[in-house]
Amino acid sequence: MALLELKAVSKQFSRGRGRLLVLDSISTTIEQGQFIAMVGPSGCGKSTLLRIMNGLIPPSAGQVLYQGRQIDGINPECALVFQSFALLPWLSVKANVEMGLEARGVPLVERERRASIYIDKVGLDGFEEAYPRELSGGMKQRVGFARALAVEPKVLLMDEPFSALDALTAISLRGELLDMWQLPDMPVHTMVMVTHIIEEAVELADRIIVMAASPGRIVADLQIELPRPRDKRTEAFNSLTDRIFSLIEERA
Amino acid sequence: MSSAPGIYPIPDINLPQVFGLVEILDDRGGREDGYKLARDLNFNLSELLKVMKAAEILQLVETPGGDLVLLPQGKQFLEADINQRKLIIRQRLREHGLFNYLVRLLATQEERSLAKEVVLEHLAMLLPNEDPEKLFNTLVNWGRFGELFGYNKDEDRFYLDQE
Amino acid sequence: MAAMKVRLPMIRRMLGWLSWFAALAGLLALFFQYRHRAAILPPHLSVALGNLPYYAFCSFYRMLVAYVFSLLFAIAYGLNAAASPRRERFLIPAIDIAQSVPVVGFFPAAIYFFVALFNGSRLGVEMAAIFLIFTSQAWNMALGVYEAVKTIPADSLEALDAFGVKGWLRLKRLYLPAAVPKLVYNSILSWVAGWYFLIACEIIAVGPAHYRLPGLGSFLMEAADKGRSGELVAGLAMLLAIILVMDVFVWQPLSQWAAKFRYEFAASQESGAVGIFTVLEDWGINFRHLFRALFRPLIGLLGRLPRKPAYPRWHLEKPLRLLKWAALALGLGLLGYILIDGMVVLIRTLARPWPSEARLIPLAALASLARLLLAYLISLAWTLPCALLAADSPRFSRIVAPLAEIAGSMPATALFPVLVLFVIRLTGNMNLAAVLLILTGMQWYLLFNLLAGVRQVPTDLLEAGRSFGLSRLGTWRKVVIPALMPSLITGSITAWGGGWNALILSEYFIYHGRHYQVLGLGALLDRATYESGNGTLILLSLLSMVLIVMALNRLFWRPLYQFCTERFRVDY
Repeated sequence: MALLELKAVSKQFSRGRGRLLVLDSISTTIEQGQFIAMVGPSGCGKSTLLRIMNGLIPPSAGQVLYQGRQIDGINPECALVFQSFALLPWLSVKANVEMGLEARGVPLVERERRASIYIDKVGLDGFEEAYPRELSGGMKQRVGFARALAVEPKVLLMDEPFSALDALTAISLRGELLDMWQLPDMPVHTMVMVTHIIEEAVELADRIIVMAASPGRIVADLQIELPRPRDKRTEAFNSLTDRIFSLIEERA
Repeated sequence: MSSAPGIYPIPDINLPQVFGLVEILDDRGGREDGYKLARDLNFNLSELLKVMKAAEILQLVETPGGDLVLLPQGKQFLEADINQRKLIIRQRLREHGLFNYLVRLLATQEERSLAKEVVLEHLAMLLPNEDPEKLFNTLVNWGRFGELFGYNKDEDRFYLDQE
Repeated sequence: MAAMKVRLPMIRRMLGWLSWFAALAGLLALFFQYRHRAAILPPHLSVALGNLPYYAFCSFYRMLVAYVFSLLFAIAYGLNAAASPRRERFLIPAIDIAQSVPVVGFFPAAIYFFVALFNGSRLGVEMAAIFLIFTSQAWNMALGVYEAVKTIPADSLEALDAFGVKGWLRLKRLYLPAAVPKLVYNSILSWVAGWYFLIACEIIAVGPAHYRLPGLGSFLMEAADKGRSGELVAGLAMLLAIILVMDVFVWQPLSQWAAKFRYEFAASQESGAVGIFTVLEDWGINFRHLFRALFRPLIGLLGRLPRKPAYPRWHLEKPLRLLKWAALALGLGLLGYILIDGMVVLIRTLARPWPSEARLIPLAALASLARLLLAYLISLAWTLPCALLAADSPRFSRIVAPLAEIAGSMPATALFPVLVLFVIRLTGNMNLAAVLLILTGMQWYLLFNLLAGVRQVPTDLLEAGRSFGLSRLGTWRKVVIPALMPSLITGSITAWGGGWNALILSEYFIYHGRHYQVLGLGALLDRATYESGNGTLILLSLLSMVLIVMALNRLFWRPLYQFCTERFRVDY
């Protein structure tokens, strides 16, 4: 059964004197165990779509079904990782990671145990008492990941998680994300990542949904069969990126 | 004034950048020209040089001429998982003059910790040409990653992590 | 492998705890010792130096009580206004209006109200004073909380939504911490304002039986009246001591702690408190460790409070929500009743035939405006050059800034008795005295804002000017003054606000049994209160003042500010 299903989801925002149609009748399904990337130009509504998936924003029309049932509000089995990290500057790394658990009423001892585990998994062991302003961008995003993983979601939603990082840190973090995803004892195996970097999508995802803007809609849904780890210098890789690029370009 | 013998500064960059550099070097077959890399990645050249230097200090790469060469232990590092990587880094840090000095200094303190101000004074003395504040931050970052040091800002304690 | 927590050296911890206990115990002890003195005191207070600690304690106690109320109000009000756009639409304009009302004008009215409420006991007068201090503090603190919560970055809000952080947990983890920096900063300002009005309250002999509150203000007034300069100096010194001690032991450490709660990209424009603290540090005296020892136990205690699992539990949510609605309805109902009652009284008072003196209002208003203008120009004449000098020489600003801060945190009203003593004795000219008194209420705001503005002039602009051969005067004219314009305007707005408040205290004076007064709105108001007790006149003069202030704000200052920030903004 599909984990997450979108049926003719549309989203309008009222802007000034008119209404802006950001998403137009999006329908797609997300199966368990997939790593999906959504690529598209800016303004195609991919970030909005991500937030609709997790229930942060309600759709103007259409349905969002999780495990067959329509969601109503935030879906606790999805967790979000933000482009700008979104950490609270007055909380230590440990407190930031525990935040989602605290909100769910998990008792203190269990909270600390789980936070420890995931802080360890993202490689931030030793940084528990650090404050966000002492951390580099890459570290902060790891905290974001740890926070999302700590609530042990079934789906991990990522909104351009690496675009606020410098090139080298991004490379490093992408590699670690893949490593983590392939570990058997990870709680989450389904990932949806929004990005505007095509290479990133091809490097990481099993399935790429290509979107176009004005209004936001899906123009292509590609399966990526290349074995991992993927080599950027191969012909197959480059032809894929070219293809996606042209798909986006011709609809621009 | 020159630095104390055997003790060299570390560039103020983050470890994830070093790992990214090693990865991309591996992608490119283990050898690349530094300038070309900076241009390809759209990276500030002087920043990249610092990252290269750090990678060298951690004995993951070599930098003959302006080139970057991946060392065998660098390749091993890439294949290790996150916890093994920490162990490797920790080992390398222990072998570095500055970190070694601090480890020995902390070991002689009661409670194996020092206030930040005191550490800054030591750094200013050891490496008079470096900015002690920046150096401290980098030390804390690297130290935390390798689980060699810890720093509690609220209580102003720079301490030796358990052995 | 979690990092191990090693304990702080025991001595430092003990020191911190001890000082807190000592301070608390001291306050309680003083309170109990002085409680039996609660009888109504005659209009003449003893000027014996032995009574000074008692008076100081009374004043401090009033400040503390009012501040606690203001704090609670500010948090509740600010959070409410920021959390819901519907409520925001009437809560914020309400505060805006409240802010433009000159506070001291309400003191006589407050006295009548509270004294009646407490059946003529001294408690009524005390409550009136506390209420007055409250009104001088609560609005700007509430606005501070509101601004702080509104400027929380959207992604933090989204993150908390996405992880289901609601209710009390959200308050504790997001709203309250976000409000801390502004709260601390505004608290400092509020205490300055509070002292100003408290001393003013204590100076005035008001009410049906001419109550005079025992406190530092009344002590100073009596000393001036009797010409006892030694006691006068002692009183001022005591006031200064309290203010300095609070600055060094409370505000500085709090400001440092509050820095932890800033968002990184929020520019530290409000780190205006250079303070004597940093000057001393420059000179090598390092108090930081001592003060941190004082505060850490408190922070540690707060952090170790047992964390309950966050509500809402599903089955509890509905009854809790009903309870909330009931409380809200009750509160609103009460507020509505008070407002309607007040409106009725207002209308009835206005409906009575206007007294003949009401004709004087327009002329009086003009006279007051003239005095304000004069005082303003004098302030500008010395603060602007000061600021320009500070722009040029960092050394100058490093000396001047802390001195200005100390001078500014001393309530100018404490000097009124002294000033009146001098001016009336020397020249007998009330107009001069009035302008001087108004001046003291205006100049510090101007100076602070200008100094803060100077700190923000980008140094590279200054350097560019100089490298292009601009003379000193030229740099001032072309670079510094334009860059200072927004601060100048903000400073002027606050200065005029302070001026209006000072007006009510400066145009009418009873000294040595004689009445000194000038033609002005403030004098009209005071005369109506203390002599004739004519409610209509009081109301009319108060209303005219409010209207003039609001009109000036809307039609002059705000547009000017808009214009200046657009034209002179230093943006890249």
